Amino acid sequence: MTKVFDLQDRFAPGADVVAREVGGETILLDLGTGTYFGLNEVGGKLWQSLEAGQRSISELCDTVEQTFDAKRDIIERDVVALVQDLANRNLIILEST
Amino acid sequence: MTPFSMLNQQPQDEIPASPYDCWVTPDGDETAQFYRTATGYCVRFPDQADFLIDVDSLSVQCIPADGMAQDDALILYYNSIQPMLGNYRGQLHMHASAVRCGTGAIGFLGLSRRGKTTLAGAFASAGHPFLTEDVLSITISEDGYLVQPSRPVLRLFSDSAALLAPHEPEAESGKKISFSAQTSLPHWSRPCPLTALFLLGPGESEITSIERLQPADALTQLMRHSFILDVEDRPRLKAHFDRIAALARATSCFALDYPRRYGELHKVIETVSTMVTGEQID
Repeated sequence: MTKVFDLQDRFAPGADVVAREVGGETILLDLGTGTYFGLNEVGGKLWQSLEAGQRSISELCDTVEQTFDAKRDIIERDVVALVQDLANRNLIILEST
Repeated sequence: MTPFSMLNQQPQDEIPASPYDCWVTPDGDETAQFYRTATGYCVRFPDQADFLIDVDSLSVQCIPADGMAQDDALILYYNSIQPMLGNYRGQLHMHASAVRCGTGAIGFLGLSRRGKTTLAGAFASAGHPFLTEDVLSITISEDGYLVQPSRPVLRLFSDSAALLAPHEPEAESGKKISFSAQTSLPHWSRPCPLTALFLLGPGESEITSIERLQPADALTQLMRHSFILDVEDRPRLKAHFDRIAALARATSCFALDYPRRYGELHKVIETVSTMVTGEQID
């Protein structure tokens, strides 16, 4: 069953995941499976924030709100969806709730 | 320099362990199997040779399988084991051929039998000397990436050989034969600045197509053409990913596909060389 995350849930990049920004896109390599994933500019910004220690969904939304021109409710919806996807693929790990 | 020794032929006994990695062709054939040993690794090319690698010294012992000529085992060493160990040490080697085009070098990356060597040979016979036929070794200089020349030898199947080296002895069907560089197939023996990389498609297209790859796409494709000894060695894999990411950022990469008919090669050469030399002028 898919867990529904709360805005205060905190995440960390998976230990086996390496990310590099190339040409405006961020490529994630899961070293455990050898699988690649691409993140767009917003996703890449979120990943940078996760690596920099901004770990809660709420903090991630703050970062997006400061960087991109969008309404808060849309940002929260999109960030939660991305976090959900990354977590389902074990690219990020839930630290605490 | 890697210490290397070659033993006499031996039957390939079953290895009482599961491989931690395999190289598999698109048809599902395993071309190489990777095992851990007490002192490092065993890379097995089924029915061809085993290579025992000592992880501390990185020395290599080759044991050809029954019926495998030592010269053929040596080609496996040069074209697979040596680049694998180079990448393990932090260098940059990929499965590709390369030719000089304009004032730089261009590389052709592709799976086995995608036409890398034939394309390099066709470029050479059209006046663009080849630097390497199977392993693209890249170093970094103050001025950027340099392609290093390899042995001045092309290994061609009989049909390609008949076209590119018609005066040489005929190759046995289905087997590659080595041809030394010659006036009609010139080799470039000095390092050359890397201009562009082309990733060869499957050849199902009826036209020659060249499509610029975004750096992110190039990164994932270039990784697939790297020689990785230990896919479970996280620090080295991460470091190699970093090197390939830097290469993808700095280098123009293209997807190249064309009908695999010899009559089409001159069009491919003309299209690619015009584009590459045009980019250099721009």
